[in-house]
Amino acid sequence: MSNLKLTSNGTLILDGNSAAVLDLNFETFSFLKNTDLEVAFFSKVVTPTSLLDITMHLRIIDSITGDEVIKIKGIVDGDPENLASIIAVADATEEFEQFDLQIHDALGAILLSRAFNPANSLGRNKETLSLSDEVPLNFNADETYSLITTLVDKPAYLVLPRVIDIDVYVSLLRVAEKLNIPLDVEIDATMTAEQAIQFAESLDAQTHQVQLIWSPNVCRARDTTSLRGRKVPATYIGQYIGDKLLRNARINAHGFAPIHYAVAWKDYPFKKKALELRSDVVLDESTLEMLAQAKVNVVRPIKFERVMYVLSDVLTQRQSKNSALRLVNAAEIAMRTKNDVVDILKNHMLKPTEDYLDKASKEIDKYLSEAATSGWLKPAEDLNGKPYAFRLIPDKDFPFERVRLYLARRPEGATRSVIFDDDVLVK
Amino acid sequence: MNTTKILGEGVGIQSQGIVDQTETQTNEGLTSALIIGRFMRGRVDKPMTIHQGNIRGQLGYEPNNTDYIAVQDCLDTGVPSVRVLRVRSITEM
Repeated sequence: MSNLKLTSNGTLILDGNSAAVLDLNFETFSFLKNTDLEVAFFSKVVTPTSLLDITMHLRIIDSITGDEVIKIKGIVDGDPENLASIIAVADATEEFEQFDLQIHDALGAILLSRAFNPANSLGRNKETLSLSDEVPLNFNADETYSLITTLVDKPAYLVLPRVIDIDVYVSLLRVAEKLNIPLDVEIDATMTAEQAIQFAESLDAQTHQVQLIWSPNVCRARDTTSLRGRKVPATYIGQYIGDKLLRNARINAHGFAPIHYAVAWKDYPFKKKALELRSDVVLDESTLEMLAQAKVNVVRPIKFERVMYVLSDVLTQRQSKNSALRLVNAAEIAMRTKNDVVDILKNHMLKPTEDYLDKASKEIDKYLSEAATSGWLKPAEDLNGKPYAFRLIPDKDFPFERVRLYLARRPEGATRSVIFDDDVLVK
Repeated sequence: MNTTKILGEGVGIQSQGIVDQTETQTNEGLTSALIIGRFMRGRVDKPMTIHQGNIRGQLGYEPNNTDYIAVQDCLDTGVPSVRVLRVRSITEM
Protein backbone atom coordinates (compact mmCIF):
# COMPACT_ATOMS: atom_id res chain seq x y z
CA MET A 1 0.00 0.00 0.00
CA SER A 2 1.30 3.44 -0.94
CA ASN A 3 0.21 6.80 0.38
CA LEU A 4 0.54 10.05 -1.58
CA LYS A 5 0.07 13.32 0.31
CA LEU A 6 -0.11 16.91 -0.86
CA THR A 7 0.60 19.31 1.99
CA SER A 8 -0.91 22.79 2.25
CA ASN A 9 2.31 24.40 0.96
CA GLY A 10 2.15 22.34 -2.27
CA THR A 11 4.72 19.65 -1.43
CA LEU A 12 4.07 16.08 -2.60
CA ILE A 13 5.16 13.34 -0.19
CA LEU A 14 5.03 9.57 -0.54
CA ASP A 15 4.39 7.53 2.62
CA GLY A 16 4.86 10.52 4.95
CA ASN A 17 3.13 11.40 8.22
CA SER A 18 2.46 15.12 7.85
CA ALA A 19 -1.00 16.66 7.61
CA ALA A 20 -2.31 16.86 4.06
CA VAL A 21 -5.02 18.56 2.03
CA LEU A 22 -5.01 15.74 -0.54
CA ASP A 23 -4.50 12.22 0.70
CA LEU A 24 -4.41 9.26 -1.71
CA ASN A 25 -4.11 5.65 -0.54
CA PHE A 26 -3.61 3.15 -3.33
CA GLU A 27 -2.55 -0.42 -3.85
CA THR A 28 -2.14 -2.17 -7.17
CA PHE A 29 -2.90 -5.83 -7.80
CA SER A 30 0.54 -6.00 -9.38
CA PHE A 31 3.41 -6.39 -6.96
CA LEU A 32 5.62 -3.51 -8.04
CA LYS A 33 9.40 -3.37 -8.11
CA ASN A 34 11.78 -0.70 -9.40
CA THR A 35 8.98 1.77 -10.00
CA ASP A 36 8.41 5.51 -9.66
CA LEU A 37 5.20 7.46 -9.37
CA GLU A 38 4.84 10.47 -11.66
CA VAL A 39 2.31 13.06 -10.51
CA ALA A 40 1.10 16.08 -12.48
CA PHE A 41 -1.84 18.47 -12.18
CA PHE A 42 -3.30 20.24 -15.21
CA SER A 43 -5.66 23.17 -15.23
CA LYS A 44 -8.40 23.16 -17.85
CA VAL A 45 -9.06 26.90 -17.57
CA VAL A 46 -6.83 29.97 -17.22
CA THR A 47 -8.10 30.81 -13.76
CA PRO A 48 -9.18 27.66 -11.95
CA THR A 49 -11.82 28.36 -9.34
CA SER A 50 -12.70 24.87 -8.19
CA LEU A 51 -11.17 21.40 -8.15
CA LEU A 52 -13.41 20.42 -11.07
CA ASP A 53 -11.14 22.58 -13.23
CA ILE A 54 -8.09 20.50 -12.30
CA THR A 55 -7.13 17.08 -13.72
CA MET A 56 -4.67 14.82 -12.01
CA HIS A 57 -2.28 12.60 -14.00
CA LEU A 58 -0.73 9.59 -12.29
CA ARG A 59 1.78 7.34 -14.00
CA ILE A 60 3.59 4.39 -12.49
CA ILE A 61 6.76 3.88 -14.50
CA ASP A 62 9.83 1.68 -14.39
CA SER A 63 12.49 3.69 -12.58
CA ILE A 64 15.29 2.41 -14.83
CA THR A 65 13.82 2.00 -18.30
CA GLY A 66 10.88 4.42 -18.03
CA ASP A 67 8.41 1.80 -19.25
CA GLU A 68 4.86 2.61 -18.30
CA VAL A 69 3.16 0.22 -15.90
CA ILE A 70 -0.12 2.03 -15.26
CA LYS A 71 -1.41 5.45 -16.34
CA ILE A 72 -4.59 7.14 -15.15
CA LYS A 73 -5.91 10.67 -15.35
CA GLY A 74 -9.10 12.25 -14.13
CA ILE A 75 -10.65 15.14 -12.27
CA VAL A 76 -9.51 15.68 -8.68
CA ASP A 77 -12.77 14.48 -7.19
CA GLY A 78 -13.46 11.90 -4.53
CA ASP A 79 -16.80 10.79 -5.99
CA PRO A 80 -16.54 7.29 -7.54
CA GLU A 81 -19.86 7.81 -9.38
CA ASN A 82 -18.54 10.82 -11.30
CA LEU A 83 -17.19 9.02 -14.38
CA ALA A 84 -14.58 11.71 -15.00
CA SER A 85 -13.14 11.54 -11.47
CA ILE A 86 -9.75 9.98 -11.02
CA ILE A 87 -11.27 7.43 -8.64
CA ALA A 88 -13.75 6.23 -11.27
CA VAL A 89 -10.94 6.05 -13.85
CA ALA A 90 -8.72 4.09 -11.45
CA ASP A 91 -11.54 1.65 -10.68
CA ALA A 92 -12.27 1.21 -14.38
CA THR A 93 -8.70 0.09 -15.09
CA GLU A 94 -9.20 -2.81 -12.66
CA GLU A 95 -5.51 -2.48 -11.83
CA PHE A 96 -6.04 -1.12 -8.31
CA GLU A 97 -7.01 -3.19 -5.33
CA GLN A 98 -7.55 0.01 -3.38
CA PHE A 99 -7.75 3.65 -4.46
CA ASP A 100 -9.09 6.07 -1.84
CA LEU A 101 -8.84 9.84 -2.27
CA GLN A 102 -9.57 12.34 0.47
CA ILE A 103 -9.57 16.05 -0.30
CA HIS A 104 -9.83 19.02 2.09
CA ASP A 105 -9.86 22.32 0.21
CA ALA A 106 -6.84 21.36 -1.89
CA LEU A 107 -7.11 23.90 -4.72
CA GLY A 108 -4.67 26.41 -3.24
CA ALA A 109 -2.07 23.72 -2.51
CA ILE A 110 -2.35 22.29 -6.04
CA LEU A 111 -1.74 25.76 -7.53
CA LEU A 112 1.40 26.05 -5.37
CA SER A 113 2.69 22.60 -6.31
CA ARG A 114 5.68 22.16 -8.63
CA ALA A 115 3.64 19.52 -10.46
CA PHE A 116 0.98 22.06 -11.46
CA ASN A 117 0.65 23.00 -15.13
CA PRO A 118 -1.41 26.11 -15.91
CA ALA A 119 -3.66 26.18 -18.97
CA ASN A 120 -1.79 26.97 -22.21
CA SER A 121 1.57 26.02 -20.67
CA LEU A 122 3.98 23.45 -22.08
CA GLY A 123 2.70 20.88 -19.61
CA ARG A 124 6.10 19.54 -18.59
CA ASN A 125 5.80 20.10 -14.84
CA LYS A 126 5.62 16.90 -12.85
CA GLU A 127 7.03 15.34 -9.71
CA THR A 128 8.57 11.90 -9.62
CA LEU A 129 8.48 9.93 -6.38
CA SER A 130 10.06 6.56 -5.78
CA LEU A 131 7.64 3.74 -4.88
CA SER A 132 8.72 1.05 -2.47
CA ASP A 133 9.24 -2.49 -3.72
CA GLU A 134 6.60 -5.09 -2.94
CA VAL A 135 7.14 -8.79 -2.48
CA PRO A 136 4.37 -11.26 -3.37
CA LEU A 137 3.38 -14.10 -1.09
CA ASN A 138 5.34 -17.32 -1.29
CA PHE A 139 4.35 -19.91 -3.84
CA ASN A 140 1.53 -22.12 -2.62
CA ALA A 141 1.00 -25.29 -4.65
CA ASP A 142 -2.65 -25.77 -3.70
CA GLU A 143 -3.57 -22.15 -4.38
CA THR A 144 -1.94 -22.24 -7.81
CA TYR A 145 -3.68 -25.53 -8.60
CA SER A 146 -7.11 -24.19 -7.69
CA LEU A 147 -6.39 -20.83 -9.36
CA ILE A 148 -5.70 -22.39 -12.77
CA THR A 149 -8.26 -25.19 -12.61
CA THR A 150 -11.07 -22.80 -11.66
CA LEU A 151 -10.38 -20.27 -14.42
CA VAL A 152 -13.56 -19.73 -16.43
CA ASP A 153 -11.53 -19.41 -19.62
CA LYS A 154 -9.29 -22.41 -19.22
CA PRO A 155 -5.92 -22.54 -20.99
CA ALA A 156 -5.27 -25.00 -23.82
CA TYR A 157 -1.56 -25.33 -23.00
CA LEU A 158 0.60 -24.92 -19.94
CA VAL A 159 4.17 -23.74 -20.42
CA LEU A 160 6.95 -23.89 -17.83
CA PRO A 161 10.07 -22.20 -19.24
CA ARG A 162 12.32 -23.44 -16.43
CA VAL A 163 12.04 -25.68 -13.43
CA ILE A 164 13.56 -24.09 -10.36
CA ASP A 165 11.15 -25.26 -7.71
CA ILE A 166 9.94 -28.81 -8.06
CA ASP A 167 6.76 -27.74 -6.23
CA VAL A 168 5.77 -25.48 -9.13
CA TYR A 169 6.31 -28.32 -11.58
CA VAL A 170 4.33 -30.82 -9.49
CA SER A 171 1.50 -28.35 -9.09
CA LEU A 172 1.35 -27.74 -12.86
CA LEU A 173 1.50 -31.46 -13.55
CA ARG A 174 -1.59 -31.86 -11.36
CA VAL A 175 -3.29 -29.05 -13.29
CA ALA A 176 -2.37 -30.61 -16.66
CA GLU A 177 -3.79 -33.96 -15.58
CA LYS A 178 -6.95 -32.36 -14.21
CA LEU A 179 -7.61 -30.18 -17.27
CA ASN A 180 -6.30 -32.85 -19.65
CA ILE A 181 -4.03 -30.41 -21.50
CA PRO A 182 -0.36 -30.52 -22.54
CA LEU A 183 2.36 -29.21 -20.24
CA ASP A 184 5.53 -28.21 -22.10
CA VAL A 185 8.64 -27.90 -19.96
CA GLU A 186 12.06 -26.65 -20.99
CA ILE A 187 15.18 -28.12 -19.43
CA ASP A 188 17.90 -25.62 -18.47
CA ALA A 189 19.84 -24.80 -21.64
CA THR A 190 23.13 -24.70 -19.74
CA MET A 191 23.00 -28.34 -18.60
CA THR A 192 25.14 -31.08 -20.11
CA ALA A 193 23.46 -33.97 -21.91
CA GLU A 194 23.98 -36.25 -18.89
CA GLN A 195 22.48 -33.66 -16.55
CA ALA A 196 19.50 -33.15 -18.88
CA ILE A 197 18.86 -36.90 -18.93
CA GLN A 198 19.14 -37.17 -15.16
CA PHE A 199 16.89 -34.16 -14.75
CA ALA A 200 14.26 -35.70 -17.05
CA GLU A 201 14.39 -38.92 -15.10
CA SER A 202 14.11 -37.12 -11.78
CA LEU A 203 10.99 -35.26 -12.94
CA ASP A 204 9.47 -38.70 -13.49
CA ALA A 205 6.40 -37.39 -15.32
CA GLN A 206 5.34 -40.71 -16.90
CA THR A 207 2.40 -39.09 -18.61
CA HIS A 208 1.51 -38.12 -22.15
CA GLN A 209 0.59 -34.63 -20.99
CA VAL A 210 4.23 -33.66 -20.43
CA GLN A 211 6.82 -32.88 -23.08
CA LEU A 212 10.43 -32.02 -22.22
CA ILE A 213 12.44 -29.79 -24.52
CA TRP A 214 16.17 -29.13 -24.31
CA SER A 215 18.06 -26.63 -26.42
CA PRO A 216 21.83 -26.95 -25.88
CA ASN A 217 22.49 -23.96 -28.15
CA VAL A 218 23.74 -20.44 -27.74
CA CYS A 219 22.80 -17.32 -29.65
CA ARG A 220 23.11 -13.55 -29.57
CA ALA A 221 20.64 -11.94 -27.19
CA ARG A 222 17.40 -10.61 -28.70
CA ASP A 223 18.15 -6.93 -28.27
CA THR A 224 21.73 -7.00 -29.57
CA THR A 225 22.57 -5.25 -32.81
CA SER A 226 25.64 -7.19 -33.93
CA LEU A 227 26.13 -10.85 -34.79
CA ARG A 228 29.61 -11.13 -33.26
CA GLY A 229 29.96 -10.94 -29.53
CA ARG A 230 29.07 -12.68 -26.31
CA LYS A 231 26.41 -15.36 -26.71
CA VAL A 232 23.69 -16.40 -24.30
CA PRO A 233 21.78 -19.68 -23.87
CA ALA A 234 19.22 -20.02 -26.68
CA THR A 235 16.02 -21.13 -24.97
CA TYR A 236 13.41 -22.50 -27.35
CA ILE A 237 10.11 -22.89 -25.56
CA GLY A 238 8.83 -19.35 -26.17
CA GLN A 239 9.09 -19.70 -29.92
CA TYR A 240 7.74 -23.25 -29.70
CA ILE A 241 4.52 -22.17 -28.01
CA GLY A 242 4.20 -19.17 -30.35
CA ASP A 243 4.53 -21.45 -33.40
CA LYS A 244 2.00 -23.83 -31.86
CA LEU A 245 -0.55 -21.06 -31.32
CA LEU A 246 -0.04 -19.79 -34.87
CA ARG A 247 -0.50 -23.32 -36.21
CA ASN A 248 -3.72 -23.60 -34.22
CA ALA A 249 -5.01 -20.38 -35.74
CA ARG A 250 -4.94 -21.99 -39.21
CA ILE A 251 -8.35 -23.61 -38.85
CA ASN A 252 -10.20 -25.23 -41.75
CA ALA A 253 -13.84 -24.69 -42.73
CA HIS A 254 -14.98 -27.00 -39.93
CA GLY A 255 -13.01 -25.05 -37.34
CA PHE A 256 -10.33 -27.69 -36.89
CA ALA A 257 -6.67 -26.70 -36.59
CA PRO A 258 -3.94 -28.92 -38.07
CA ILE A 259 -2.87 -30.26 -34.68
CA HIS A 260 -1.96 -33.57 -36.32
CA TYR A 261 1.13 -31.76 -37.61
CA ALA A 262 3.51 -31.56 -34.65
CA VAL A 263 5.45 -28.32 -34.24
CA ALA A 264 8.86 -29.80 -35.00
CA TRP A 265 11.48 -30.49 -37.63
CA LYS A 266 11.96 -28.61 -40.87
CA ASP A 267 8.71 -26.66 -41.08
CA TYR A 268 9.38 -24.94 -37.78
CA PRO A 269 13.02 -23.80 -37.71
CA PHE A 270 14.38 -22.15 -34.59
CA LYS A 271 14.92 -18.49 -35.40
CA LYS A 272 17.47 -16.66 -33.29
CA LYS A 273 20.51 -14.57 -34.10
CA ALA A 274 23.81 -16.37 -34.76
CA LEU A 275 22.64 -19.76 -33.45
CA GLU A 276 25.34 -22.23 -32.58
CA LEU A 277 25.51 -25.58 -30.80
CA ARG A 278 27.32 -25.23 -27.47
CA SER A 279 30.96 -26.16 -27.90
CA ASP A 280 30.97 -28.54 -24.91
CA VAL A 281 27.98 -30.53 -26.16
CA VAL A 282 28.58 -33.48 -28.49
CA LEU A 283 25.36 -34.93 -29.85
CA ASP A 284 26.75 -38.22 -31.11
CA GLU A 285 24.72 -41.34 -31.73
CA SER A 286 24.93 -42.69 -28.19
CA THR A 287 24.04 -39.35 -26.60
CA LEU A 288 21.06 -38.90 -28.90
CA GLU A 289 19.94 -42.45 -28.10
CA MET A 290 20.13 -41.78 -24.36
CA LEU A 291 18.22 -38.52 -24.76
CA ALA A 292 15.54 -40.31 -26.78
CA GLN A 293 15.28 -42.99 -24.09
CA ALA A 294 14.80 -40.27 -21.48
CA LYS A 295 12.25 -38.80 -23.94
CA VAL A 296 13.94 -35.41 -24.12
CA ASN A 297 13.22 -33.58 -27.37
CA VAL A 298 16.43 -31.85 -28.42
CA VAL A 299 16.74 -28.69 -30.47
CA ARG A 300 19.80 -29.23 -32.66
CA PRO A 301 21.31 -28.29 -36.02
CA ILE A 302 20.35 -30.54 -38.93
CA LYS A 303 21.49 -30.16 -42.52
CA PHE A 304 18.65 -29.90 -45.01
CA GLU A 305 19.16 -27.69 -48.07
CA ARG A 306 20.88 -25.52 -45.51
CA VAL A 307 21.54 -25.97 -41.83
CA MET A 308 18.50 -25.42 -39.65
CA TYR A 309 18.14 -25.63 -35.88
CA VAL A 310 15.01 -27.70 -35.31
CA LEU A 311 13.16 -29.57 -32.60
CA SER A 312 14.31 -33.03 -33.52
CA ASP A 313 11.76 -35.30 -31.84
CA VAL A 314 8.12 -35.44 -30.78
CA LEU A 315 8.11 -37.70 -27.73
CA THR A 316 5.97 -37.18 -24.68
CA GLN A 317 6.89 -38.56 -21.27
CA ARG A 318 4.52 -41.52 -21.74
CA GLN A 319 6.47 -44.65 -20.82
CA SER A 320 5.65 -47.04 -23.65
CA LYS A 321 7.32 -48.71 -26.60
CA ASN A 322 4.63 -48.16 -29.20
CA SER A 323 1.62 -46.33 -27.76
CA ALA A 324 0.14 -43.48 -29.78
CA LEU A 325 0.24 -41.36 -26.65
CA ARG A 326 4.03 -41.25 -26.68
CA LEU A 327 3.84 -38.91 -29.68
CA VAL A 328 3.13 -35.24 -29.04
CA ASN A 329 0.63 -34.82 -31.88
CA ALA A 330 -1.28 -38.06 -31.24
CA ALA A 331 -1.43 -37.28 -27.52
CA GLU A 332 -2.75 -33.82 -28.27
CA ILE A 333 -5.43 -35.22 -30.59
CA ALA A 334 -6.48 -37.71 -27.90
CA MET A 335 -6.66 -34.95 -25.26
CA ARG A 336 -8.38 -32.44 -27.52
CA THR A 337 -11.06 -34.84 -28.78
CA LYS A 338 -11.83 -35.93 -25.24
CA ASN A 339 -12.12 -32.34 -23.98
CA ASP A 340 -14.32 -31.34 -26.92
CA VAL A 341 -16.62 -34.33 -26.45
CA VAL A 342 -16.90 -33.44 -22.75
CA ASP A 343 -17.89 -29.91 -23.83
CA ILE A 344 -20.60 -31.35 -26.09
CA LEU A 345 -21.91 -33.53 -23.25
CA LYS A 346 -21.93 -30.41 -21.06
CA ASN A 347 -23.83 -28.33 -23.61
CA HIS A 348 -26.86 -30.64 -23.51
CA MET A 349 -26.89 -31.30 -19.78
CA LEU A 350 -30.26 -31.21 -17.90
CA LYS A 351 -32.27 -31.88 -21.04
CA PRO A 352 -34.82 -34.76 -21.07
CA THR A 353 -32.93 -38.04 -21.47
CA GLU A 354 -34.36 -38.91 -24.88
CA ASP A 355 -33.55 -35.46 -26.19
CA TYR A 356 -30.11 -35.56 -24.58
CA LEU A 357 -29.22 -38.90 -26.16
CA ASP A 358 -30.45 -37.80 -29.56
CA LYS A 359 -28.86 -34.35 -29.67
CA ALA A 360 -25.58 -35.19 -27.94
CA SER A 361 -25.16 -38.30 -30.14
CA LYS A 362 -25.73 -36.31 -33.29
CA GLU A 363 -23.35 -33.59 -32.23
CA ILE A 364 -20.62 -36.02 -31.14
CA ASP A 365 -20.97 -37.91 -34.42
CA LYS A 366 -20.73 -34.71 -36.41
CA TYR A 367 -17.70 -33.55 -34.40
CA LEU A 368 -15.83 -36.84 -34.75
CA SER A 369 -16.67 -37.11 -38.42
CA GLU A 370 -15.25 -33.64 -39.02
CA ALA A 371 -12.20 -34.49 -36.90
CA ALA A 372 -11.64 -37.50 -39.15
CA THR A 373 -12.00 -35.50 -42.38
CA SER A 374 -9.67 -32.85 -40.93
CA GLY A 375 -6.95 -35.47 -40.55
CA TRP A 376 -6.99 -35.85 -36.77
CA LEU A 377 -8.33 -39.43 -36.86
CA LYS A 378 -7.45 -42.39 -39.06
CA PRO A 379 -9.35 -45.61 -39.97
CA ALA A 380 -8.59 -48.42 -37.53
CA GLU A 381 -8.87 -52.17 -37.92
CA ASP A 382 -10.29 -52.59 -34.42
CA LEU A 383 -13.09 -50.22 -35.38
CA ASN A 384 -13.93 -52.10 -38.61
CA GLY A 385 -12.10 -49.60 -40.73
CA LYS A 386 -13.78 -46.59 -39.16
CA PRO A 387 -11.76 -43.83 -37.49
CA TYR A 388 -13.96 -43.71 -34.39
CA ALA A 389 -16.80 -45.43 -32.57
CA PHE A 390 -18.96 -44.30 -29.71
CA ARG A 391 -22.03 -45.39 -27.82
CA LEU A 392 -24.23 -43.06 -25.82
CA ILE A 393 -26.85 -45.04 -23.88
CA PRO A 394 -28.93 -44.64 -20.70
CA ASP A 395 -27.48 -46.10 -17.53
CA LYS A 396 -29.31 -49.18 -16.24
CA ASP A 397 -28.98 -48.34 -12.55
CA PHE A 398 -29.94 -44.66 -12.87
CA PRO A 399 -32.11 -44.56 -16.01
CA PHE A 400 -33.66 -41.22 -15.07
CA GLU A 401 -30.56 -39.17 -14.58
CA ARG A 402 -27.47 -40.84 -15.97
CA VAL A 403 -26.21 -41.80 -19.41
CA ARG A 404 -23.03 -43.59 -20.39
CA LEU A 405 -20.62 -42.74 -23.14
CA TYR A 406 -18.08 -45.10 -24.61
CA LEU A 407 -15.69 -43.49 -27.07
CA ALA A 408 -12.90 -45.03 -29.11
CA ARG A 409 -10.86 -43.28 -31.77
CA ARG A 410 -7.62 -43.80 -33.62
CA PRO A 411 -5.47 -40.66 -33.66
CA GLU A 412 -3.04 -39.81 -36.45
CA GLY A 413 0.63 -40.47 -35.69
CA ALA A 414 3.97 -38.99 -36.75
CA THR A 415 6.68 -40.90 -38.59
CA ARG A 416 9.87 -40.74 -36.56
CA SER A 417 11.75 -43.78 -37.81
CA VAL A 418 12.29 -45.53 -41.13
CA ILE A 419 13.50 -49.07 -41.76
CA PHE A 420 15.40 -49.02 -45.01
CA ASP A 421 16.18 -52.37 -46.64
CA ASP A 422 18.86 -51.77 -49.20
CA ASP A 423 19.67 -54.24 -51.99
CA VAL A 424 22.09 -54.04 -54.88
CA LEU A 425 21.09 -56.32 -57.76
CA VAL A 426 22.92 -57.78 -60.76
CA LYS A 427 20.01 -57.72 -63.18
CA MET B 1 -53.36 -8.37 -34.23
CA ASN B 2 -52.16 -9.34 -30.79
CA THR B 3 -48.61 -10.77 -30.80
CA THR B 4 -47.63 -11.96 -27.35
CA LYS B 5 -45.35 -14.39 -25.54
CA ILE B 6 -48.19 -16.33 -23.93
CA LEU B 7 -51.45 -16.35 -25.80
CA GLY B 8 -54.71 -16.47 -23.88
CA GLU B 9 -58.25 -16.84 -25.23
CA GLY B 10 -58.06 -13.96 -27.64
CA VAL B 11 -57.17 -14.04 -31.30
CA GLY B 12 -53.46 -13.54 -31.71
CA ILE B 13 -50.02 -14.89 -32.41
CA GLN B 14 -47.82 -16.45 -29.75
CA SER B 15 -44.12 -15.93 -30.32
CA GLN B 16 -41.36 -16.26 -27.75
CA GLY B 17 -38.62 -14.71 -29.77
CA ILE B 18 -35.91 -16.09 -31.90
CA VAL B 19 -34.20 -19.35 -30.93
CA ASP B 20 -30.55 -19.31 -31.88
CA GLN B 21 -29.55 -22.64 -33.40
CA THR B 22 -26.70 -21.21 -35.40
CA GLU B 23 -24.04 -21.59 -32.72
CA THR B 24 -21.59 -24.33 -33.56
CA GLN B 25 -18.73 -25.92 -31.76
CA THR B 26 -15.59 -23.88 -32.23
CA ASN B 27 -12.09 -24.64 -31.08
CA GLU B 28 -11.27 -21.17 -29.84
CA GLY B 29 -9.57 -22.63 -26.78
CA LEU B 30 -6.79 -23.92 -28.98
CA THR B 31 -5.17 -20.51 -29.20
CA SER B 32 -4.84 -19.97 -25.49
CA ALA B 33 -1.61 -20.81 -23.68
CA LEU B 34 -0.59 -20.03 -20.12
CA ILE B 35 3.09 -19.38 -19.41
CA ILE B 36 4.05 -19.77 -15.76
CA GLY B 37 7.16 -18.02 -14.52
CA ARG B 38 8.95 -15.64 -12.18
CA PHE B 39 9.04 -11.98 -13.09
CA MET B 40 10.07 -8.65 -11.62
CA ARG B 41 6.54 -7.29 -11.47
CA GLY B 42 2.97 -8.46 -11.92
CA ARG B 43 0.01 -9.85 -10.07
CA VAL B 44 -0.08 -13.39 -8.72
CA ASP B 45 -3.81 -13.78 -8.11
CA LYS B 46 -4.77 -14.36 -11.75
CA PRO B 47 -3.17 -14.58 -15.21
CA MET B 48 -2.18 -11.38 -17.01
CA THR B 49 -2.70 -10.82 -20.73
CA ILE B 50 0.67 -9.76 -22.09
CA HIS B 51 1.33 -8.27 -25.52
CA GLN B 52 4.22 -6.45 -27.18
CA GLY B 53 2.92 -3.14 -25.86
CA ASN B 54 2.82 -3.99 -22.18
CA ILE B 55 5.37 -6.75 -21.62
CA ARG B 56 8.11 -4.39 -20.38
CA GLY B 57 5.80 -2.39 -18.15
CA GLN B 58 3.77 -5.23 -16.69
CA LEU B 59 6.45 -7.88 -16.22
CA GLY B 60 9.53 -5.65 -15.91
CA TYR B 61 12.35 -5.70 -18.47
CA GLU B 62 14.71 -8.56 -17.56
CA PRO B 63 16.67 -9.64 -20.65
CA ASN B 64 18.49 -12.33 -18.65
CA ASN B 65 15.43 -13.93 -17.11
CA THR B 66 14.58 -17.19 -18.91
CA ASP B 67 10.87 -16.80 -18.14
CA TYR B 68 10.83 -13.26 -19.53
CA ILE B 69 12.70 -14.41 -22.66
CA ALA B 70 10.11 -17.17 -23.20
CA VAL B 71 7.22 -14.67 -23.12
CA GLN B 72 9.12 -12.29 -25.40
CA ASP B 73 10.01 -15.09 -27.87
CA CYS B 74 6.39 -16.22 -27.94
CA LEU B 75 5.20 -12.71 -28.81
CA ASP B 76 7.99 -12.32 -31.38
CA THR B 77 6.52 -15.17 -33.43
CA GLY B 78 3.54 -12.90 -34.18
CA VAL B 79 1.08 -14.10 -31.56
CA PRO B 80 -1.06 -11.07 -30.59
CA SER B 81 -1.06 -11.83 -26.88
CA VAL B 82 -0.37 -14.60 -24.41
CA ARG B 83 -1.52 -15.22 -20.88
CA VAL B 84 1.13 -15.20 -18.17
CA LEU B 85 0.85 -16.32 -14.56
CA ARG B 86 3.45 -14.99 -12.15
CA VAL B 87 4.49 -17.25 -9.31
CA ARG B 88 6.98 -16.44 -6.62
CA SER B 89 9.82 -18.84 -6.25
CA ILE B 90 10.22 -20.49 -2.85
CA THR B 91 13.94 -19.85 -3.08
CA GLU B 92 13.49 -16.21 -4.16
CA MET B 93 14.70 -13.68 -1.64
